[in-house]
Amino acid sequence: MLLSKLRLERFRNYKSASLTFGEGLNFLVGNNAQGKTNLLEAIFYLCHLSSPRTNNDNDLILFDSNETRIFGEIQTQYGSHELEVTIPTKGKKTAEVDGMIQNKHADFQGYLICVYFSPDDLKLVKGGPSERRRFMDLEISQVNPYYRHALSQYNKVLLQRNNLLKEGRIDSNLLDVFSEQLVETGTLIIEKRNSMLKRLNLLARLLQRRLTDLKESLLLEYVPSFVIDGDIKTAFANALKESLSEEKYRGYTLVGPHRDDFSMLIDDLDVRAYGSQGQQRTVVLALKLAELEFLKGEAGEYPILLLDDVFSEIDDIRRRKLFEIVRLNKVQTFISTANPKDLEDIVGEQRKVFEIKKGCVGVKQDVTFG
Amino acid sequence: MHLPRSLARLIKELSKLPTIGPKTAQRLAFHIVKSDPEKVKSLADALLEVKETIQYCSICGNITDDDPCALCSDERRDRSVLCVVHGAQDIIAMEKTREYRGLYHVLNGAISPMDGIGPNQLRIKELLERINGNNIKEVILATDPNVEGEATAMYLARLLKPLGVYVTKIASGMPFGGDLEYVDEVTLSKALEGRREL
Repeated sequence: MLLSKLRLERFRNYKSASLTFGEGLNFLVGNNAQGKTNLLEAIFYLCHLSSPRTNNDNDLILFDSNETRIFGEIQTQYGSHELEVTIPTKGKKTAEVDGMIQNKHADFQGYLICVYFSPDDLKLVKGGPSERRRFMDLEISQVNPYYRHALSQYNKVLLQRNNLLKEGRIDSNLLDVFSEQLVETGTLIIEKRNSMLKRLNLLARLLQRRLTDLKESLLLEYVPSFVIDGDIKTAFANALKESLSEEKYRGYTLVGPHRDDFSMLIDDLDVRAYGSQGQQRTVVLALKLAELEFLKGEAGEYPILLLDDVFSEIDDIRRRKLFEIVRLNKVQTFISTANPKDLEDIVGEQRKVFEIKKGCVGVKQDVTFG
Repeated sequence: MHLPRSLARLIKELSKLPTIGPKTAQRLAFHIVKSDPEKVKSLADALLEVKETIQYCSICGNITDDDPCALCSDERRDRSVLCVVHGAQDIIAMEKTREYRGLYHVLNGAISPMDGIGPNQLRIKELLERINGNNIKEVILATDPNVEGEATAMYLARLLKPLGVYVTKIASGMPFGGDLEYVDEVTLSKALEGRREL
């Protein structure tokens, strides 16, 4: 999968910009606050129709303008396509593929797939369980639209059930109904997360070994909020029964996929609690690269890789390993960095360098090494 | 801009109606200003009349001019089957099928604890009273296919089954006359779940 061209109109601090990318590494170099991340954000938007940084689309529009446009030319295994997104300050955004408006956003989203890695992703290891649940939910939703629906159903049932638990006198028949619905939708979510994590575990394990020269083996495991002994559905229903009096006392649902997590172990030790800073960073990198492989397995070709200012996060050795993996699999990669020195130790790579300054883009080098 | 007081009041009242925004309200108001007095009077009369004469059927809860409603008093309808719906507008949809010949029961909403709507806020007690002693053999639950509708249906099934009536729920799945490729993935997944042997 390739993004060959990107054109922006009135996007963030860009009045207009036009970029032609290389097939290998694309470096976006510039000082802070010049617009490097904005470019990656625009690419991300072409994949997800949402920004990784804001929920308010109006933030994306250049100050005092009434709309912004993002335009991309892509090459996939099925041929080339032109993607275009228009976001007005008022009204709905439109998404077009080859000039045809896509009424359902889901129809647009599958064309360009990306893995986005920013310093924020360290939260995957350091942050609370909700970060890891979000990670799983996003990954599965990208490749399974029905999962997105099941998840929103589950959240609605949960909201209703929690409201019921807060009532003074609870109709036990009605509580049973919501419990039954919770078990029904929740079981599906746990099953999907479980099978996704099993595949991710195999991939992440392999990548962690590669990143650490076979020194460390990583183990990812789904951690449900209740003991699953055999059938998930029965176990979930029993767990709800057992926690009922506590739930009535607290006024909310205590077990279910909304309380689940996954653990990361290196040699039987929890990386979150016992891992060093460097180890934790390597695990995030392994997770992100596993995500790349996972999506490749689902889509049939490699997604594009967006690395937002993560060079500062990883040491030279990991950086070299990362480039090995990217080069080996011919993954088109976009890297933003404030430090031009980062480029010096990358030799033997096909690379293109863009200089970003106050919302303007200049091509500095277009060189292919060895 | 300054509007005459009476016109401003009309616009304000119209914009309180569902699906009517301020622009549409203004357009409607100006239309009324320009219309013949008889036409306006006829509209005003119709508004008042509907409020004065429309009542709820004491048996099924449908909206009606006379109590009991035309459906409940129609001797040709099958009195052993009840179809349970959320609102009176659902009856209109069901009647269009011309397939259903039984009676109805309107709940006046769906169970939703987050909106403060529990079983006591719906016409469930009336439903149970109707079933007791009226020789009803089947209850068809025609609730909306969403979380609240499903919860309402499941709750009713729990109450009704012990009374010895046959409880069914309408199927969800493929729309008729459409192309498979254009059906959204959620509907298609549901239809796949509810597939039948031929």
